[in-house]
Amino acid sequence: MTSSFIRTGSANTFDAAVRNITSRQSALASLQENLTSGKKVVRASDDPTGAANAERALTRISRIVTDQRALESQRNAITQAEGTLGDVTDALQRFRELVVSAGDGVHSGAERRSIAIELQGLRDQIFSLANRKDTNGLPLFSALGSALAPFVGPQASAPDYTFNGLPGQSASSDVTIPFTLDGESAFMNQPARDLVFNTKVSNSVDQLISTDRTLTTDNVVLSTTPDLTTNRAIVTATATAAQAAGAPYPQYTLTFNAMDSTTTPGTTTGSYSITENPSVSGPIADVPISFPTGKPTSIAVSAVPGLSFTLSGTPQEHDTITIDASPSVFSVLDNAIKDISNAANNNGATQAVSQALHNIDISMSRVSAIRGQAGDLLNRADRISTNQDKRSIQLESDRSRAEDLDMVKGIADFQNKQTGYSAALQTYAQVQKLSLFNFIG
Amino acid sequence: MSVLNIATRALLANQTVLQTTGNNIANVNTPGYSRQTAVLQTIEGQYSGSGYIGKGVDVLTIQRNYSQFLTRQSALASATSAGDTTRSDKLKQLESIFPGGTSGLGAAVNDMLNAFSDVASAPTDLTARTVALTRVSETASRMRSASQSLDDLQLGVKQEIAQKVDSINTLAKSIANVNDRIARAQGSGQSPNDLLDQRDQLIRDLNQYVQTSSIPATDGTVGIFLAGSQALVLGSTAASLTTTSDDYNDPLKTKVALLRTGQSIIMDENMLGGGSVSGLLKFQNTDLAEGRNLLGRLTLAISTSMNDQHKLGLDLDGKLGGNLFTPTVFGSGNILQPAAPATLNSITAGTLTLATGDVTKFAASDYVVNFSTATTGSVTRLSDGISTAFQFTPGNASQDGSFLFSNPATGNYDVSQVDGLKLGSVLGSAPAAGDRFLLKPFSTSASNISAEFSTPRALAVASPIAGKMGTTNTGSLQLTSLLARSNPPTNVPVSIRFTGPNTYIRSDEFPALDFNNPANFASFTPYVYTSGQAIEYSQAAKYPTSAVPFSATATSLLGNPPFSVDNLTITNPAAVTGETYTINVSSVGLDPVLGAPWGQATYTITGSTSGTSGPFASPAFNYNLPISIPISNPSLPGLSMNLTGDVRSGASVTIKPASYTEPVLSNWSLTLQGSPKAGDTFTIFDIKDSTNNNGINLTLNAGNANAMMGLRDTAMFDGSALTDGYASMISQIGIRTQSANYSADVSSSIAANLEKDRTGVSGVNLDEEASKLLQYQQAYQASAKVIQIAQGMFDTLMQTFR
Repeated sequence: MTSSFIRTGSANTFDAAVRNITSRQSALASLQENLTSGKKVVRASDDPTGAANAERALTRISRIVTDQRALESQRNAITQAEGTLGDVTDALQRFRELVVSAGDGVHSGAERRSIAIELQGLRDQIFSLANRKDTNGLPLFSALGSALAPFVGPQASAPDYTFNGLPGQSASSDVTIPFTLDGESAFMNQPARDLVFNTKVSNSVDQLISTDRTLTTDNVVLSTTPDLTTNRAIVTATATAAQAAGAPYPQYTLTFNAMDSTTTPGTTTGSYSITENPSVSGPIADVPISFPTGKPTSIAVSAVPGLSFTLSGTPQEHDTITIDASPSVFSVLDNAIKDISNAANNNGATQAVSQALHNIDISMSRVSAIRGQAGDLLNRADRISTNQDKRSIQLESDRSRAEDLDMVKGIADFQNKQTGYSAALQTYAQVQKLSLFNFIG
Repeated sequence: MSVLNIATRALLANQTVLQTTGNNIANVNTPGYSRQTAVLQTIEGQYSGSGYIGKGVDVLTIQRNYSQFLTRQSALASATSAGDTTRSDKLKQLESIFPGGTSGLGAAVNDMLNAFSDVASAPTDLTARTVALTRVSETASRMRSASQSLDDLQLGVKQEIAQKVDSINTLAKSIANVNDRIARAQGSGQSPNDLLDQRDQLIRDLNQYVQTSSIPATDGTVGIFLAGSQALVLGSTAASLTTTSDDYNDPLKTKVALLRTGQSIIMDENMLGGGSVSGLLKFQNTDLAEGRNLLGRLTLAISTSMNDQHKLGLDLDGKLGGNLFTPTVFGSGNILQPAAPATLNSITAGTLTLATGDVTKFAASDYVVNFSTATTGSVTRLSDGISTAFQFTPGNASQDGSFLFSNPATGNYDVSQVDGLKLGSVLGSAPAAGDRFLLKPFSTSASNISAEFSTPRALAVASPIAGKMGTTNTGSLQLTSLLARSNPPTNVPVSIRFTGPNTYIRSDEFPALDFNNPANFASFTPYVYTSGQAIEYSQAAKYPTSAVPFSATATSLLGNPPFSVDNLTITNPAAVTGETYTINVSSVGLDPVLGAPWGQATYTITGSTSGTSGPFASPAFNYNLPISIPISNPSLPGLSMNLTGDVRSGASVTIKPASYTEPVLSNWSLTLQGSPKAGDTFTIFDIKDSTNNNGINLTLNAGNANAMMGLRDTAMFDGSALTDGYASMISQIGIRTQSANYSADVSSSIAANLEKDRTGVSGVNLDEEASKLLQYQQAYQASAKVIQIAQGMFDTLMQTFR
């Protein structure tokens, strides 16, 4: 038998040559598939790890696209809110200027009323700005959630304005900022937090302080020192607790009684009573006073629970001083308009203007604080956006590295394989031509 | 005339050789043909005085050139190659069912979850809601179509197996026939070359379908054996193969069985070796089953978790959310029992029930439940063979049976689910030892999944709970997230009051106490607040601080006063773990004269879950003074007590938590960030609770849409995030395909080499035959010349007589 080491079967040689050519052709075809699709991983089995990496990168890229889109609408909402707060500040500024001009002693009551009409216009503008909505119809100042119009008022019963929303601010995350700002913080006043009180001076019999005398108050301040550990203003614990339980903050009324300027000549004695409505602190004792008759005096009032202020002028029988908490910016504006427009004389106007200016300043500082927060959020949105763009580029290059074909290498390989294939075809044809039968005559 | 004789014989012999060569040339491309050689032999010479005179040549036989070894090797290699190639081809089809990129199922899942981002941006926008619902339906349809493709592939494979089994049976019959003819031809003394070639070719063909081993018998026949030892052909009789199902009559699996003399033997596909049938069987029973389980797991986990989350929301009309996807119901297709001819379960076994538990723990596998006794047994995960022991409490007429699984950490039977699956049994079930069940939890989940509804208003986007900060807060608290865990929320409202920058108290601990009254603050447990860390509903003290909820029991009551425990108190409630502790006194010094305790004792403390610590040494004591050994935190976490009395070696004390009901706490998770000031508050309440919700509009709330987006990062699928589940799935199938491609490449190149070697012996080489033609043509011509010369000699002789 012939040794098989050098023997080859003719049919098998043909088969083997055809098989090799076929496999070269299919390698060439798959390389062409890679080249035309631009990917080195066409099927997961080409490189399972690369395919999974590419798939994960795609997932993350589409996640970033989604996050960026959400961030864009968040940024829009906050930009709009920031602009709105700017408008509010401008309007408050204008309001303040008008209030200052209303305090000018040359104005008559009619002139003050006409200023009040202009003030009313500004108040309406501020109120509608506070209830503004973003492009998606969500209130800009809905805090942790609110009704469609978060600010409601004026209402007949106290408090005159309410915030129909959940106070608080949502946090930003690595990829998002909140949609809304805390409207409660921007536009609502809390007695314990902001100390916004409106003090009115009147006489329960004459309805006004007669022009031959003056009676005004300064601004209400705390009678106790703030709690140093919490930095929290302690107005009164019981009133705050009552308020937390749903009751409005009490109204305090001082009434001057038993004013007597005859018993001791040259000295007026008397007392004032304090009523609390609704009553939360219990009965408050009358406070006796005494001052030189007919001369303006200054009386420090400290018997009102949690609060103190100074009274200047010459009090008379039936003079009343009411202290109301202003629960919102709008209450401050409403009180200013009402008090300026209703001021019967300069005394009333002076009291109204001084109270209004103080309270508007507090309100403006609150609005500015939230506006600053909005600016901070917008900066953050820019940072997030830049970061996300960088990550997106990084992920895109990860994906490309995992599955895209290096074209130079791909074309080089293709040339190489093409040369090999054509050599295989040529040699096949030539070798198959060789046969001993060609030489047998 | 011997010259003429010699010449004639030579002429005939050379003619035969030329004829054989011609036959070789004619059959150069005939499959299975083995090259033949005419073997020439010198005819024994005639003896004469001058020696042996040659009498010419004769054809001894026509030899068939072949190597039995190479023929067998080549057949085996081609069987392996056929098996590997078939499996690799099918895996490529399987792979194409799960494409990557934007057209894949993974992108659909992603787009679906990302669509909730637009809904969160504009909760009242019906367009965004419609898009989200469309994406849900698109995902469901991609899952369904992948499942349909798997079914189609399965059906094709099943039919292919049946056809190939038919071919095997035909080939086996043909081999038996040829065997018979060979045995008959055996008597002639010459080998029936062409029949042998035919049989070898049939065996080679058979090996394309299934790997066989052949053993020659003395009568010239060959026995064909499957799986090493099962006879398919013996002499002139052939057995037959049929397709059948496995022990559990699982419709998704096929087995082949050998029918011989009325007996059916089921063949394990792993024993069958190579061949396309075993390649198909392996593909169907392992690769396709895994693909199906991976898809089923993806579907079940995603649909269940999305359904669960959606149910935790409120829709535009304030109604509770429903299912987004059709919920999976496990039925008889998921819980299989053995079917005849396998040993059946006991008559009273009944059926198990299957339910999903923690979907993040799913493993893509089938499971086998084996009862070793009526109340114990094990569950085996088939993908890796890991089994978990269980204890079974049989049900009765009114209650289902229940399973408790072994806890891998402690070995106790206190886990209610295995790999996120819960088992139970239907009413009145009473399994007996030896009963077994096959669980296929993921085999059907993708086949009938669809979106449940298409009303955008019914998309539950709002969260059922909401929170608000106190209006007098002065710290920098911000709300990061507030997630509902039950719908409608239970046991709300809850207030949280910060008592310092890092501590808070919560109102649900003692609902009866006035939470706003500063006098009560000290009664509440202070919890630790960390910015950005979730405040969970379960984060409450397990044991109250006031009363002692522990009881102590002492053993070893020798001497006077007897050994006992006193002053057991809780010193640090936060450290108390609620374990049962046993304190064992291991050695005690004794007074040599009196035999009373004196000197020092050593003891160990064993916690029921924390294990043994110690030994600890007590302070020295004197027998004539009362003995009191103090034991306290940290060796006894949070507790303090004294051992007193006659302490002896071997004495022990057990300290158990008294029965105590945990306070009911709300079902939510709250994350705040920033630093609070003392007195800051946060209140959590039902969003529909009008006394607390400040009149808000719940349709503007997008809490549940955010929670749905949060699912994207849930660790699921062996720890990878939900959105990465598909990536790991395609790579898993890709790895299988890649390795199958590699083995197909390797085995086909081995087969090609061996075939080359075989044809090196048996194949016809045309050049060789051409040279033989020349060689024997010359010999033939020479022989003719000899005849001519013999003629010439004869003529010369005749002329002499003329």
